[in-house]
Amino acid sequence: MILEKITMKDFRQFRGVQNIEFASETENDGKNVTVIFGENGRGKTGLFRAVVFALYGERRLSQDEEAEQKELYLVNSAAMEDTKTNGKPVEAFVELVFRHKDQKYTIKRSLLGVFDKDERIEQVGSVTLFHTNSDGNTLAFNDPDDIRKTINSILDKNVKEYFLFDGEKIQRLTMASIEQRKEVARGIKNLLNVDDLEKAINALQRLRKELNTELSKRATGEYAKIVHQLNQLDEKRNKLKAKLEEIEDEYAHLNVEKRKIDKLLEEYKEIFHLLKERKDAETQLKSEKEQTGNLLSEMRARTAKASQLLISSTIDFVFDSIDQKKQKGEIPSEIRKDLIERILDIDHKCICDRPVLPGTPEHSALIRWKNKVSDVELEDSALEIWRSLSSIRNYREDISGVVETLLQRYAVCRNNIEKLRKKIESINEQIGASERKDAADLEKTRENIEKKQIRIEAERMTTKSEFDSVESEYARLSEQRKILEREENIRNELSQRASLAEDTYKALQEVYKGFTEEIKNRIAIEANKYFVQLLDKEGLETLSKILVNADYSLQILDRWGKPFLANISAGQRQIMSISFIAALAKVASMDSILEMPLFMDTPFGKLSYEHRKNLIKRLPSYCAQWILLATDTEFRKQEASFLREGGRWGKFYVLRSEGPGVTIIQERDIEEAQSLLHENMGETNEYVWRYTG
Amino acid sequence: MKTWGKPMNMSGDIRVKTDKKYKNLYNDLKNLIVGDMHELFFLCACLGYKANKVKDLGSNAEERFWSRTITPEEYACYYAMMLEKNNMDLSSIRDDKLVIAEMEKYANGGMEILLEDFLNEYCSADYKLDSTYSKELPMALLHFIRDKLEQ
Amino acid sequence: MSDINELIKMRLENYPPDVAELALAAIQSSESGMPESSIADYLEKVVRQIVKKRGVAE
Repeated sequence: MILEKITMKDFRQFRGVQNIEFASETENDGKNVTVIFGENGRGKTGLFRAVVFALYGERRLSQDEEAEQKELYLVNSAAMEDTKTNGKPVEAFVELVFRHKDQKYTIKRSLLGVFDKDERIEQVGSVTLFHTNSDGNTLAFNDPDDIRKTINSILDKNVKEYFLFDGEKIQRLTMASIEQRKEVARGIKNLLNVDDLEKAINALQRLRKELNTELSKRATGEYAKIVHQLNQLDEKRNKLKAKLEEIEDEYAHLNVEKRKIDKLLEEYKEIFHLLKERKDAETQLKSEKEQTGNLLSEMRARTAKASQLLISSTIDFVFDSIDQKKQKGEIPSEIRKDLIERILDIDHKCICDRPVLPGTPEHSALIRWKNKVSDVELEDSALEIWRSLSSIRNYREDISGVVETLLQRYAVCRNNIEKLRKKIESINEQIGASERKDAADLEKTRENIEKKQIRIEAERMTTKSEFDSVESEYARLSEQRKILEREENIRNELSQRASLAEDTYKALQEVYKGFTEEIKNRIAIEANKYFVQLLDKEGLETLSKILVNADYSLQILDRWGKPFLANISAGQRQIMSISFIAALAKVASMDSILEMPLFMDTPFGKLSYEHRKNLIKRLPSYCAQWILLATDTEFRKQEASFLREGGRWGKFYVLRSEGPGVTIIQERDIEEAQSLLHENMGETNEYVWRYTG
Repeated sequence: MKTWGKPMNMSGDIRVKTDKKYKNLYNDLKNLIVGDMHELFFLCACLGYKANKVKDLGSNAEERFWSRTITPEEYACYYAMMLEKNNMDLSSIRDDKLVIAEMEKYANGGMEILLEDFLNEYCSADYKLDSTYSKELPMALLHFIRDKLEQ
Repeated sequence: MSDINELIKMRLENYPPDVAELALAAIQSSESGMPESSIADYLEKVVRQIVKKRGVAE
């Protein structure tokens, strides 16, 4: 499909009748690039919508998913406002002229907009398709169904998004998700129109099953046995196939889980040494705390002895006093007190029999002796006390020393505890939010996942080998069945029919498989060719290859052959998607099946300078037609001059605002582009539009 | 005349008394900063004696513990204090009851010193110990004793 | 017949004519937009016809 011209009346922002002629190789001396330029909101996506609406009657784009239906007005709002006064409905239309395989098509679709009280209503109008074939004869079609079929056969509506797409869409293509895979697979299948093939295969499957069932009911003997076995094997085969798919899905899911954990562990590695430090600190802290506990116990045990130190002077005094008395012989006394008392109070005479009478010097002397001595018990007590005090004094220094030591050691411990606490706090600050789960747990989980994967893989292998053996058994029995058919000369129609259905089913499956495999490989090869041409220097150094997996998921390998999709930049993703899509287009048209325009809405957003340059230089040669919708921020003098240098730039349009919700399309000479566009980097936002009348 | 038994009697039959308001304190501090009540009593007696603070118990007296828990060393110290106070008159230590009674007064005074200079930080109004501080009390006490020695 | 299916037709040339015939019938009826069950019914008739032709030919 090559677009030639689009005419719009009161469609979206395009007030009145406006049109764009697209550059195409045949009409414009090999120039196939059209640039439509305008700030955001000026209507670039509106153009896109117009094409989609004209071709398919669709009012929504995939980006509109969230929008309410009533927010998607297609009829120009300003025109609608005008009718508020005069009450007439606004007839909007889009007419698209395009060529396909040298045949010309003109499709026109209209829309009516009217106010019902204050509510805005849009009604789908008529659709007409004019088809001029290679002989020059023109046919008109009015039936929406016929039109739909025709258009879908040219560009199936499911596939439109691969040729009419915006930057967001490009982005989504390379997100490594199950949805993305499905989307790619669906896209390719739709593009290649293998939908029909799949349906045919499924119908044959059904038929074959029916016939085989009937056959097993009606056949007899050895033949019946084999048919019956084949049916059973078939069922078993289907079950195993389903199981295999289930297993593969689970495996893939576990891979996703593993990747998540690996990402966490990566972050974790960075903090791993910190965690170890912290753990060590915590262990030390525990030990210090234990020590302080022990020290406190010891201190408690020493309280009594320490208290003794308070009365050291008393102890010394008493000790010395008793000691002195001892030295003097007063304790124990040389004479017992009770003897002296007996002499003085009872016998009144000394042991030598001399009388001792009060008032005599002997009496006084004895009184003096009596006063000096104490009771025996008291004297013994004093001696005991002396001994006790002596021992207390002996270890006084020890006690003093021990108390000092304990207090010092405690202070040291306390200090260490403080330091360790601070250290742990500081480590915690450094670790911050990144600590989510103990690395050991993550490792364990990962290990479990791997174990599970190993188990699943083993299961898969067992299942696969079971499947393979069922398949080979099936093949063997099929052969036998054929032999029996021939040998027994069974002309039984039923068995022949069953056989035929069986063989055809297998044949189509093989064809399908081979076909899609080939297409997939060619897409990959072409995608890589484009990729290498479009990628910037940095990309070329890091990335090596795009892969299209069996399940149609996209992957990209780094230069060591490792999967790298999750790590590429947004710009590189975009280039990857564009390469893929360009490859799709090329492969689809390789056998002259489809010529497709690439209708791109702001594709440059995330691209680096080098990427843009490469894209602008190369893309025109990748596709039959390139229609580029660009904003002022991404299409500047530099991009324009690249395009000019390429020599394929045919048309230049500018979308200009003439008031709210009103955009005017102006064709410009390409030569004017330089003066209209911004400088790249460094220019102010203000610029002046210059009209040439 | 001889009404007592062996030398340094260290009678175990006496009920040692303190002010009844210190009941909780004795209970709380036992096992916390001292092994047993007699040790606390000893500490208070030493504090009171050193500061020469005698405080009669009067009607506030309440039995606290048995004298049999008093160690020989503690007793020796009590006797020493008694002897010093009574100018080395050995007869002053003849009656353990009197010794203990005297030490009770010193302990009463000493407890006030202990509270004022040390424990008040860790106590609430009615002589209840604040458990948040209790862990490091033994260390604080040793510090306190050491500081008292330097005075 | 759609172009993709033309390609498939080419590949089917490597298979026995009966098989190719049935396969093409399947694809064509699929292209026409019939639901799967209807296609299966239709193909049953096709199969009968093909097999009958064999009988006649022999």
